[in-house]
Parts: sequence; C-alpha cells; structure tokens
Amino acid sequence: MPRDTATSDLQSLSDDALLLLYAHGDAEAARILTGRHLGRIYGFAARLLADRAEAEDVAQEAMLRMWRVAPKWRAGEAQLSTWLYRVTVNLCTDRQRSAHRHRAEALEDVAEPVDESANTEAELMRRERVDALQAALATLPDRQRQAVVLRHIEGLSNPEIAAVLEVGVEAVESLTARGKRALTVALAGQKAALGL
Amino acid sequence: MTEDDLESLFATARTPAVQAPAALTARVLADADARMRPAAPAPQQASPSRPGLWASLGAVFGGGGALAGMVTATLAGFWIGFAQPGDLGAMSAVLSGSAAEIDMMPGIDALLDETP
Repeated sequence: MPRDTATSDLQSLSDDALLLLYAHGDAEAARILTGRHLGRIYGFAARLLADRAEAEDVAQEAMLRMWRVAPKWRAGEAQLSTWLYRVTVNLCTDRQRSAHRHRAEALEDVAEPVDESANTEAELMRRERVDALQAALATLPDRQRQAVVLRHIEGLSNPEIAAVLEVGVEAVESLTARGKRALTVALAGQKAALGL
Repeated sequence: MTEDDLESLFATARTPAVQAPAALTARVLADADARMRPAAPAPQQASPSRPGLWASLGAVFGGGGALAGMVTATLAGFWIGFAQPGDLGAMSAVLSGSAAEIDMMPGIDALLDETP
C-alpha cells in the first residue's frame, strides 16, 4: 500500500485506535497523534504558565506520559484530549507550586505565536489584546485561570472541564464565573486602549 | 469592560491556533520512537501439514467415533467366523436322523449312581 494512502487511512482513525497502533509499533500513528494534540496542549500550558520554555517542557512531558500509557490505554473509558488536558493541568500546577513563580513577571514570555511578517496595525492590536488578556489571566488564582482558559479559549464544555479538573460541574461554573468577574475588573481601565 | 468585550478578547486569543515549535515536535516524536515497541513481525504462514492416517480415515468415514465402531464390528465378525460352536455337529446329526439318540444331560448318570 502506498505510504500516502496509508497515512490518509490512519488520519480517519480515532485517538483510541491510533494509540493501539502506536502500542504495536506504528510510528505513523505517533506522528498523527502528535499533530492532533501537541499544539493544543502546548498552547494551553503556555497560557497557564505564561512561559514558553516551561510550556514546551510540560507539553513534552504530557506527550511522553501518553506514549507510556499507550499499551495500557482502555479504549472508550476516557477521551484522550481530556486525559491530556488533565495531565497538563497537573504538570503546570506542580511547576507553579515548586517554583513559587511570580507569573506577572513573565508576561513577555507568553506563548503568542510571533509572525514577523504580519506587522500590520491590525496585527499589532491583536497582539496587544492577547497580551492584555494574558496579563489579566495571570492575576487569577490557579483554578480560576485553568477553568476560564478551558471554557473560553480551549472551548471545552463544563462537564469536560469538570473531568479535567476533577471537580463537580457546579464548582466549574463557580470558578469560571468568579474568574470572568475578576478579569472584567482587571481589564476595566484598558477598554479604550484595546479598541473595545 | 462588558462581558461582550471580554468575549471579544477570548475570541482574539482563540485564533490563530497555537502551533507547536518544530523543535518541540521533533523532541516529542523522538520520545515516541524511543518508547515504541518494535513492530511485531508478521506471523509466518504455517505450512499446511499433511493430516495423519487416522485423521484422514476418520474424515472419510465420518469421524473418529464412526471409525471406531466400524473396527469393532469387523473384529466381532472375524471372531464369530473363526470360533465354531462345539456341539453344532451333534445337533446336525440328530436333526438329519443319522444319530440313534442324543444325550441331553451327559453328566446325570454319575449323579444318580448311589453306590458309595
């Protein structure tokens, strides 16, 4: 079978099926899983940590745990994306606790992708908005920040967030509501500067 | 700052999707390769072995049970043909009239003799 055809066939498979293939030695399955998940968990870690280098380490570690768990993965018991988010949250929490970092001091390191060719006025405004939001997120308590990012940037549902954070749905609703109120206060003075 | 303003900021942050740096992708794939079990070799096609004699015969006669029954019947027939009943000749002589008498109880005289 030609390689392109094989890759195309694998692209249509579920995460569970790809993990099973990887566990049996299929390198192409690993490449597809990496393409599906690495960017998302890297971006998520970067928003939680506000530090690209640390986000890379966390994303690599989360993926490494995925490779390790592949032979024991039970299809249908959990969504791989939810499992990866949970691992990433826990790794970020561990780093934040151990380093006693002051997140606000690392704002210049947010994971916003840099496109040097796009220095238009609109792109500059977009970056200002993203930086302002990132700075405001950094002022939130960890759990509120995690819930707000998962809900409003990653686009997860409240039950999915509850599974990631291992709390009840009501707790998720409370965390996101309090987080959004705090963000509104933190950004109150920047409405005009951000063109809102 | 209204809730709509906040949603506008969220929408800005959602796009474009963050791409993982190429070096990170390379490290992750190297991890995957390092921890990947070698692909299991394709199972070799087992050469079809010739069925044994009894298996072949059993298949012809409808299974091992049927074959065993047939062997038993053959042996029984052989034995009946080989071992002739002992008094069959005397019975034939009486029936054909060539014998004057037939002693139906050959041991009874000894029992009736009361001589000590």
